[in-house]
Amino acid sequence: MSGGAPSPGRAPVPGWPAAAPSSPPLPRRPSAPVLGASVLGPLVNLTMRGLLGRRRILLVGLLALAPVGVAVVLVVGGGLSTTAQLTRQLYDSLVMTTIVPLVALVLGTTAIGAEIDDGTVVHLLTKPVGRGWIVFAKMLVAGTAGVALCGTSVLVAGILLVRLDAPGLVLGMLVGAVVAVIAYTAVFVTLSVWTGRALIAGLAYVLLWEGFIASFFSGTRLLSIREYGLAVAAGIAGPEAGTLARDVPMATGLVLAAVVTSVAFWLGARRLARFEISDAG
Amino acid sequence: MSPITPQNYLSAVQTFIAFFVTAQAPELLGRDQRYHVLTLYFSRALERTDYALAKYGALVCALALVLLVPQAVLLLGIVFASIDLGAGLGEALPLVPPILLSTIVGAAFFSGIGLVIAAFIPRRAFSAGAIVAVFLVLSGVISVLVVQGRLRDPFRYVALLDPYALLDGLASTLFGVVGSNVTVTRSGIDPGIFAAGACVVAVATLIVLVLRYRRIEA
Amino acid sequence: MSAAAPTTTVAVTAVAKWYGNVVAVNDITFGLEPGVTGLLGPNGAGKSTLLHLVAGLLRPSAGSVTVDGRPSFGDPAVYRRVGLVPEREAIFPYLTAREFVRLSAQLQGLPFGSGAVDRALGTVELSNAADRELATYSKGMRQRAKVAAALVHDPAVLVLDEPFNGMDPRQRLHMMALLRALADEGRVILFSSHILEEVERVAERVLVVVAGRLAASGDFREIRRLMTDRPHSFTLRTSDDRALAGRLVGRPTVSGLTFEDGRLDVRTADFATFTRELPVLARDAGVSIFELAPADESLESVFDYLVRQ
Repeated sequence: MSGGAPSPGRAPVPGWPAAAPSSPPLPRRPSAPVLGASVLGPLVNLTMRGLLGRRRILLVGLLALAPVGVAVVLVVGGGLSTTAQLTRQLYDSLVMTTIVPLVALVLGTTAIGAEIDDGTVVHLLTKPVGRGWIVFAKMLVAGTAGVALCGTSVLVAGILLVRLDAPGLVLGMLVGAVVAVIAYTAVFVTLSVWTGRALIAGLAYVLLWEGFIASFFSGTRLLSIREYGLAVAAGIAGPEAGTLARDVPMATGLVLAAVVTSVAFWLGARRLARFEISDAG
Repeated sequence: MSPITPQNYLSAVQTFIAFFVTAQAPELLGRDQRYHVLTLYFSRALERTDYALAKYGALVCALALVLLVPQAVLLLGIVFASIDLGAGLGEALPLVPPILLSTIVGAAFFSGIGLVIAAFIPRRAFSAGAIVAVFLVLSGVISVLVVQGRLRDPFRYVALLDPYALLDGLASTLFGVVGSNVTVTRSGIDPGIFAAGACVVAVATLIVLVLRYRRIEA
Repeated sequence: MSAAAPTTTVAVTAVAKWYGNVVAVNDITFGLEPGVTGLLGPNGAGKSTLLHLVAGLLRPSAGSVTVDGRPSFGDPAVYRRVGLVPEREAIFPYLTAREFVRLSAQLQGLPFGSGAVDRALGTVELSNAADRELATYSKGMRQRAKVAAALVHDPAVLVLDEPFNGMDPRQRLHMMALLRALADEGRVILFSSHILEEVERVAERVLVVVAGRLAASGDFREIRRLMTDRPHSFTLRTSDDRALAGRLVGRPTVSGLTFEDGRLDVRTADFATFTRELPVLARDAGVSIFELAPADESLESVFDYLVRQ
């Protein structure tokens, strides 16, 4: 900037020499485009460090690995040869009802919720970065972490319980859990952008809606992410699905899960674009 | 699905009870810890024990109140649905003590579990996650273990760790009916033991809560 | 300053911001040019709200805030030219200062290895401590880290919310020199404070905001004059109020006298002369003064007065 040469186009960053009183005013730069995919790396990095870099991730990990623990207990101490039926029972009542939604809840609400809560999101919003990319980065990290934790847990527990007798079932359970985790984390990340009470809202959805209402009224089955996951699991398990089989076909479950994820993303990006931060946070 | 009666009401709304405690316990305790308000409380003429008792009492009262209103409505329904008022009252009034007792003890032990967890985890999001995880995972895992596992004798008593089972055992003992919770029915343990377990948990969690706040750094 | 290239301007036009029934900012209009502008006002006056409006973090309920003619809210591209140093201490505690500033640089699209991060850290004198985690920093150091992150992309507009909070005198002087240097390069600097001395040392122009309204604007000397030339009130407790009052009533500097229970309230338009005359009068009357206290020296009363102008 010495001598005041105007910066050309998307300028390389000029230096700061000691101020010369006669320097001309800073020239106005042309309006540069908003950044997109190129900032995905730093955003993902930041989210990962915030989400995974602390002791609390151990708690989530422990939660995710509960099915493995149960499988070990059953295989070693139960005094019973474990069956595919037992595995299906465990999958339905423990994994898909409790573990998957909870892991997704904690990961999804913390991914952006923590930053909104303590105000550090202002450092992300005061940058020329597309809001959709911010939301996408959060969903990507939370979803991947969820898939890694729950997928591993289901795979290991499944293999422990039925060994190689029912590969279709194990594969079905794995894919179903993965689909459910992705949809859940997307919904919960969006919830965090829309409300500061995302955890309670998410819990209400999981416990009250999916746990209570949807089990009473079969018409509402199509509005439950758990059903999508189970439908996909049953579809892939094919003949080994047993009691997991649903009225909802696998294709429907898959499509609806994709729809829910996309809508969640779109809503989250829109809301973040109109996000207001006052100094009260 | 069978209609909801005063006898099976608590078991029917067990998920809601878990949700209520999960939503409220972190709010009650987490805020004061995170924002260091405890120093303000304890620098007054307020015993640490009083603080813990007050929080416990508050949550139990609130939860009990929320649960008692629908049950009162159910009782009114019984009274008005019967042929004459006398018979209706005769049918409804004996239910009042079991309703009160089961609701209060049920609210107490659920609240106690939630508060103890919230007392150790100041960050609200994580304590809420931990509380609901405890309720759901314990009940889910234990019900599978008990029903499918055919556990040998000392291990059978792991059924007593299931909060929903404790609730159901409590209700069925006080009302003198058979409960609906599979863990209770399939474990082969007398429901009265579950009821006793519920009382023990209610008291034990209160003691832990008081001890925690005696020792906590403010 | 040559007019060779157009400068970045910020225009705030009839801006209002309300939350339900609470009006935070009420019909404020001003424009910003290269140089330092200070936003002065008591706590709760709406300074932070105004700064957040300028920085595009709040949507105006009425009116408009534009940077180079484009609205500041809802347009992420505006952040290529604007940098904000927020007041809230929200930082990423697990990042080091260098990582934090580098994150800022990356999110601004600065090419790797451009040296901007090092320069920014050097400008705020954090180069030595740059590789320690922000959680270990003192408040003043965190403030400087935030400033470095806001400067890394060489913004034309820099908005700082209470930047001198929590800084020791040396850091404060350094920050003031930095702001002046940045302004001399042609940047638009807007910062807020509730301390007139801070504002008058750095800012060429002062905007006084009270209860959401623009109470006064101008050169800091004009503001200072407005504030000190106002009528002052004093409360006196003496050994003989009436005797002293008798002497005071004749003086031209005294514009009002009131007897309260055991005290004497005096109003004066020229407090400098009054404070010189008072001890002489008291001595001549043989009256001992036990207490002489200004009755309205608070910043609030000063601002009150300004609003009523």
